[in-house]
Amino acid sequence: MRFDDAYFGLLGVAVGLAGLLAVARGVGLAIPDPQSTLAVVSVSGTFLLWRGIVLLSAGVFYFQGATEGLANPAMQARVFMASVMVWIVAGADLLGRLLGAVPGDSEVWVAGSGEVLAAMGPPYSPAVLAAPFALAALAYRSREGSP
Amino acid sequence: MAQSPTVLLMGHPNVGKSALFNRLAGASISESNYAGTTVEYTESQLALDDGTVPVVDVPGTFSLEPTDRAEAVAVEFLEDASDPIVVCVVDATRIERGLNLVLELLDRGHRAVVALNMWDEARQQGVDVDVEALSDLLGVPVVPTVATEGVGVDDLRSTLDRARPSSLSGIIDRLPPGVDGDLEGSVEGDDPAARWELVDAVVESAVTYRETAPSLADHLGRLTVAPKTGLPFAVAVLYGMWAFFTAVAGFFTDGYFVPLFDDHWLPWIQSVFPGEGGWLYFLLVGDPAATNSFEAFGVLTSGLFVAVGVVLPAILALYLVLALLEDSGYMARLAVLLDAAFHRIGLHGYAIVPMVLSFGCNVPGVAATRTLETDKQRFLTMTLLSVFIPCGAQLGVMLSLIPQYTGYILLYLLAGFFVFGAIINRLVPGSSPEVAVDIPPLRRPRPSNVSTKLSLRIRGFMTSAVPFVLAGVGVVNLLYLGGVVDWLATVLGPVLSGWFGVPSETVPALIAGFMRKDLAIAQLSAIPMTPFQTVMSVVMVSIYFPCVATFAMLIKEGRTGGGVLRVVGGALATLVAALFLWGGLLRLGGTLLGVA
Ligand SMILES: Nc1nc2c(ncn2[C@@H]2O[C@H](COP(=O)(O)OP(=O)(O)O)[C@@H](O)[C@H]2O)c(=O)[nH]1
Ligand SMILES: [Mg+2]
Repeated sequence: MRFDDAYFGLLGVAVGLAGLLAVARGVGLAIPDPQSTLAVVSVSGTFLLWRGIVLLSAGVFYFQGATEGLANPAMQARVFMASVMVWIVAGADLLGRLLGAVPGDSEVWVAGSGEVLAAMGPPYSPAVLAAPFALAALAYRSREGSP
Repeated sequence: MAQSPTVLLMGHPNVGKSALFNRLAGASISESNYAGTTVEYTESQLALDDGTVPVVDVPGTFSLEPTDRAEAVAVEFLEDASDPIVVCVVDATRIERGLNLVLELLDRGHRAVVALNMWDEARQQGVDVDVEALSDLLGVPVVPTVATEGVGVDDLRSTLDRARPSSLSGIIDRLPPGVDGDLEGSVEGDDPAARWELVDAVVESAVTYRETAPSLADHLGRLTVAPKTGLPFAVAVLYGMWAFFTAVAGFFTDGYFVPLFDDHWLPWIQSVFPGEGGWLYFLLVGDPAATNSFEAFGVLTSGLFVAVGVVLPAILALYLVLALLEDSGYMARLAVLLDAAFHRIGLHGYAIVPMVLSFGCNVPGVAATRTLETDKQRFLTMTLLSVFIPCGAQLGVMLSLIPQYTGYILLYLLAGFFVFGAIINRLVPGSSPEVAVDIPPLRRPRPSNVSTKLSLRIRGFMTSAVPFVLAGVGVVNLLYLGGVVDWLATVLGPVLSGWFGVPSETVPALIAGFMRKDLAIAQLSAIPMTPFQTVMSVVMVSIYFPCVATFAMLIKEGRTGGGVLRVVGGALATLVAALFLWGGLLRLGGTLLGVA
């Protein structure tokens, strides 16, 4: 087994489970937000169901890629696509926080750096936490000529 | 050379004609990574050693026997120009179909030069073209180009004066022995089958294909159109687009324009504008006691605020994402993925573009219907989206008021979109042609093209839509002055509460919805209602009248989409029908379930 198979297999399980949790909370099941036990993660917010579906599918794609074997370029592409999905959700989350915080209160035009930093601090959504790990998929890209 | 002959850039859609045009003429018009963007043509001047000649970016055409509007325009150009120099732009990665058009042009006796564009991609995909052999065979100059990088553009410019006609029988004679098969002299006239045989023979003697492994982009491209992987990815992209839109539009509108207009512009203009109490004051400034720009209702207060403070940021955010999606080649894939669903209502996959835009703001959504082929398709799309698609601002307020129901309301509205689409498709005469959606390769978007496209579209919006929005606000104010709005409120009150079971206090909110639907929904929150009544009235406001900006756009686009009266009248009829039937159905469902 290649190292990347194990790596993306595990990432797939983690991302998939987070997605499942988001879907469950998104349809209104009474499952507590993990933030109560693990302060850095929070599964909440708008369009939770849809974000859950995206993460769940990304998890499944990672897992499929890992089990079919990442020596196969088609599976590498699948893993790459899953990473793009994670980045989209994570990027949207971070951008929303940043642009929401910058205008500040009615008193100022640009909020102080302290407030902005506080808005960018934890807790994070699972997608944001997974995003750096998903960067590993970029390795499949650099082996080629420019696309 | 004849008196400044026109240079026509011709070729299939999406082969890089516009990109080449930009390079040749030093212009900046938008290039799009999907077929059929250039229905209108662009003309410019091309500097040659001995003066300048006119150059035209002709709409893409598959053959010289036109099948749609864009193709008809292309063929007209060819026929109207006197002895033009045709630069036949060929996508080197799909050389066969390009050559077919080249032969058709030569057969009609035109002087031609062939630009083998996308040379970079052809190399990567293992397509090797022996340019010299091809040029000798065809009897016209052939220049490899990479339009996006400017490679080969100078060569192309300097070969223009060597453009010449060539006959198909000559080409057959020049075929090397062994590949000419049984072609002898049989390709004259318009015989497509024989022409294709000649194309095959030419390709056989000048092109070799090397085996190459599909690239990551190729694999990704396949995944995005296969439903199992493509649909979840589409959900991610659409969610990302919406989230980007709310973040950016919220940043500008709520973060800056609301305080700017409410705290500075509004009090200032209220105090300096002369003639408080007069009709001009009412028209331009509105309510002298208003404390926010939405409630003031004047052309220079609410009108300017809606146009600049609300719609402009929305457009900026949406057009940016759209340009990225188009250039990357993803938009065409999304269209392919959703084509089947849209076919049921007489549209095709590209209707997704206006629809996606509308979830942000209906104004650019209506404008984007310009890319659809027939008047019928434009009418269908404009009407359906202005009636059934809630804009980003509405969605935002819905989410904050009744987050637990928003998803279901959206589904209900989307179902309405398709049900009414199917009905209108039956009722409205006109054709809805199938288009073969041509899937372009996935590419990294180029910042320069994205920014050109963005600035072109924003400029277009500022000059064409903003005046309409301002005029729309003025008209509403006149209706107020004339008492029309009050009259409507009294007349409609009992109807609305009787049919939909919502309190008659919601009528003012419905009227406010004409300015900004999101604020109408916000107003609803102040009225005490049962949860069902809340859902009901939110659905009504969503279906109900498009906001004044959208309405103004309907009028503007209606002029070119089959007549203002037809478009606006049809849209209104659909609206009333949808409001009463689709809204009534919801109430019926509620009553049956015992929640109404
Ligand atoms: N890689 C590559 N892309 C190109 C080239 N020429 C054009 N493109 C891209 O192909 C797409 C279609 O180009 P466009 O000029 O709009 O084609 P048109 O429909 O023929 O006018 C755009 O995304 C361009 O950036 C080229 O030579 N190489
Ligand atoms: Mg073009």
